[in-house]
Amino acid sequence: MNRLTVLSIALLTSAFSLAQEFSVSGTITDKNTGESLIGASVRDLDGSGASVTNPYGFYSLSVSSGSHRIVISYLGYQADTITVNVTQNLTYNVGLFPNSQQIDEVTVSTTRENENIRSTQMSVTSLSTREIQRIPQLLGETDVIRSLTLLPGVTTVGEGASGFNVRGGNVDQNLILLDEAPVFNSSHLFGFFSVFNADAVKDVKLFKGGIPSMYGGRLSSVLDVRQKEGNTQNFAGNGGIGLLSSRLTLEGPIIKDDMSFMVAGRRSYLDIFLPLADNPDIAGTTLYFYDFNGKLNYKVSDRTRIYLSAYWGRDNLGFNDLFNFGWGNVTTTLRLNHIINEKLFMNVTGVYSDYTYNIGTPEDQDISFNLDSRIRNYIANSNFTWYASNEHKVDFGFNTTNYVFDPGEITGFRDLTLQQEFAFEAGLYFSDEWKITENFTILAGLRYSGMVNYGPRNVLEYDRSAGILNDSTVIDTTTYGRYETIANHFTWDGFEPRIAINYTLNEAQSIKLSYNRTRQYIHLISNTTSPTPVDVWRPSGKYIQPATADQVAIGFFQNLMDNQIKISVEAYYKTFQNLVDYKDGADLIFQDNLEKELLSGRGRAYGLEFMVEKKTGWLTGWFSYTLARTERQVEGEYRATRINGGDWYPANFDKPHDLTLVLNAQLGTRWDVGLNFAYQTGRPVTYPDALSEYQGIFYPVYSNRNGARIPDYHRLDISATYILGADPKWEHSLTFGVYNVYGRNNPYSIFFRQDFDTGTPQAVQLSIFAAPIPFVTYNFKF
Amino acid sequence: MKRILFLSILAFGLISCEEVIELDIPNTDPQIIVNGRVSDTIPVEVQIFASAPYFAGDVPGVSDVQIKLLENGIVVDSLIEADSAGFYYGTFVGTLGNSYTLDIVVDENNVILEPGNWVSEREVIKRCPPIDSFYSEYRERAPFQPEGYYVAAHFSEPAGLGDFYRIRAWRNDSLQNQPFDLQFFEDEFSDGLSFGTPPVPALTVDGPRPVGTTYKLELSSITASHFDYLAILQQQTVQVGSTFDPPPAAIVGNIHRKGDPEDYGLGYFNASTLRYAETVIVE
Repeated sequence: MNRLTVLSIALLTSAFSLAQEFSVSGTITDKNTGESLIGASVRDLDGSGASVTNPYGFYSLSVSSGSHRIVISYLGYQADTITVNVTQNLTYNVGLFPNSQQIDEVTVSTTRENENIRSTQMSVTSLSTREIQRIPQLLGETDVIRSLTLLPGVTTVGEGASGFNVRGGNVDQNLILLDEAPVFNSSHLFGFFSVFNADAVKDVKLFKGGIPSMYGGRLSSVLDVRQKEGNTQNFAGNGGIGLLSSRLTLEGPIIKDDMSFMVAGRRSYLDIFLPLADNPDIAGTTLYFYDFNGKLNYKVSDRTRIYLSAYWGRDNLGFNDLFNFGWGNVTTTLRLNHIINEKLFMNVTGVYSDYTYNIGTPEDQDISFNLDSRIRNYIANSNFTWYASNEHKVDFGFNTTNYVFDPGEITGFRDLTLQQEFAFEAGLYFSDEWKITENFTILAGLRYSGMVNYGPRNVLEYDRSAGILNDSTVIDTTTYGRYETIANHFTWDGFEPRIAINYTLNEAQSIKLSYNRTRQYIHLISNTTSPTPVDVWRPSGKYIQPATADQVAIGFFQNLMDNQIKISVEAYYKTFQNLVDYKDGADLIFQDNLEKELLSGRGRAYGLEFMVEKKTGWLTGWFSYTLARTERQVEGEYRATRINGGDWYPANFDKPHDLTLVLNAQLGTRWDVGLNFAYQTGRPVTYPDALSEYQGIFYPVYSNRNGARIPDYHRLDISATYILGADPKWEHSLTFGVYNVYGRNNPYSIFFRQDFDTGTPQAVQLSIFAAPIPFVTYNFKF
Repeated sequence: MKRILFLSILAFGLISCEEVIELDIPNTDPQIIVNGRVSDTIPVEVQIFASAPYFAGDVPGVSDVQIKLLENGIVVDSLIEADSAGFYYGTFVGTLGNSYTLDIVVDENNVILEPGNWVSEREVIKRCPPIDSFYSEYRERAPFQPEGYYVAAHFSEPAGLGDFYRIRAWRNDSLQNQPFDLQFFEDEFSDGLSFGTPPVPALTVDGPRPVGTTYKLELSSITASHFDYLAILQQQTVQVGSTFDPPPAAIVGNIHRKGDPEDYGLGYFNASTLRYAETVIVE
């Protein structure tokens, strides 16, 4: 963005402001740590202005001249009221003190949050690190993604499955951002744990619908994870020692008030116990993960701030030093925040993100083998927020991503490389949140996006009249040169309207409506029940079309007991076009011309989500119930291009009933106890219709995909935390609990095979974590 | 890539448990199963079965079916049913490069299957190089390879991509025929190279086994379509149960109702060149 553009935008925006109006703007932070607060509420009691801090803690209000009382509140913090005498534009940076655990919250009715009622935003959930840390977890490992699956509308195919599904979306339809950098694989250990170290995370926000137009590129959700910025006041740290892993986070000022750092590391040590196993194959196995988070932030001036953040995580699975399998994400984000004027906020971001996996044997072996696969992203984003008036808040900007896909390179006894694939994706957006009346707000946004797939690359040409892409319909190969366009998906289909309406009935009740169109240009190529680290991502191109989803949602929101209890009911209907699906028996590994294995399908999802939550007081938690269906349809011209004869069939993660109860109680000053209970309909599986045989090998005959279900799932977890010492210089606690308290033997899948000895066909139920799993973790903070 | 699968299963195995369960699966009408082979060595043979309820454990042979073999579209043999129901044999031996189809008629009097006329898709007998050597050797422990005696074969893959092979082994005269024993491969990584001469390793057939174990090896050429069939058969019978497995899928062979390629039967009729070798494990 050159200076001229910035200047003209600044001039334009200031020209729009009315002469007698002034603005009060600034940043809201945690007074103890200097950490900026996201989503803090700022309200003018003597005017109509109300604002919520953006992801960088910035707010701006339009006020008339005179005296104004401005209330700043944020959940878990003591509200503050400032009185300002406005005669000109003012900058007010405010620090809030957190509610200490020992002190009862100050009850001031006017400052109670009812942002959930007032805002146009629906289908969104924020979880703070503290909330996540209070949920009983498998092996006591605080897990961001596992916690999200306890929310309505979020499911997984099962425990230990990688990723999550939001309102009928596949796992690749979630835009997972860590400090604005996309994370391609959100799991460690094949899906058992997530890549986010909760200690390093400040805020987690999941958009299931009503996705703001600044986000694009995925169909179903945005998971926006922000790392801590680092304490600008004091040197501090926290960490923990658990059964699976240990972690340590350090943060502190480099230049007090102006520059700070945060570093966090985590490593699992399951591999330390493996040598104890009797089985020599297990004893010789190494299996571990580690991750590292780092952030540096520098306040150049009151108006300008620079952030540098990085994530580096890796999993490693080795076998007696003879065989290695590793995968991991690396992301780096450089970000510049600049307050152009009191009403105009700018954020410019550059991101490099890299996902790799590698499988290989040491080079000194007779027959060595090494497979590398990689996906690299170079991202440039510019986002502007213009607080035009108290009635209009305008967001605009653009996102660009250049992708370089290296699907696979084999070196060793034979060298072989799959062709690289290049793609450029861009999006341009604009939205206006318009407060039409005190009770009626509309957020109208439009995004335009597209992708161009470019060379160099050799692409097969098929006889398109045959209606099927396979070896026998290949007619030619086209060679595309460097930067030559292979497929251009910047078309009229690239518009993505995003509309949200809020009608506030009163301070405690509102009705919201939203419509969203989302487009997705890159696709995870995986036909396994749960994605694996070796799955590849591919861009839309000549044969893979961009996918589109449309979602309509309506919701009713009600707060009770002075906003202490929040109730929401949302209904949604969502359709999907051009979803990637797979031919029966598709071979997706190491394929240059994947289109031969792919089919294109449609999807539909609809549901009703009910949630009651209580976020304040000694007893917190939520109860949620979701009634939902998710289906897919692939209706090709031939039997090889159809699934289930072209009929609708339930998706792997279709779970009509999903009920969750999460409770946390603070008992006195020392004890904190947590409980969660989950109940879900069993996921769909495919039962055979008959038995067939080929030369003595018996096999099941399937014709009805996902026509049956595994038994229902339910589980209870409990945990308790005992605070050993509460000295602010050394606060430490012990958390212990049991996952799957009553040892429910929850099936993960039911599958069919021949008995190894007798050859008799049998049905086998596979369960994981079928016994109570106790855990203990020691946590400290200084 | 199979090693990854095993490693994944291993990792998964640490926290999972399996149990055989009983299920009530509704029965469906029997479907025709046609399995057969025409080769350059052994006279044509075909088996006709009917699919059964999944837990029945076996499929019944179907008698009184008329089966004709066609070479390049011309009838060259009519198969005759043997004493065991469902097993049909001819006298015809195929020729390299020719194409073969079956024509099968199930008449109105059939007691198991609905009447119908079924055909197989065209299968061509492809080239297959001879087995240069088949031998046993002692190997040290390596990943997924316990130490012991192994049997392996050498052969020279002819130049030109697009060759597909299958191997079958008889250990002490018993055909190794569990789903895990299915072995087939293509020449994508070995085109024009010799198995047993670097960079291509020898083709390991079995092991480790005690000294004195006898082996018979069959190397056969198969078509791309048969390769795909075996691949999905293996996928659907071996890669089952873990989180990393593909979904259940129909295993569609090359048998369909005459005049309607969309109405398919079960099983596969293939054409092959066959090569044999024998060995015994020695110290």
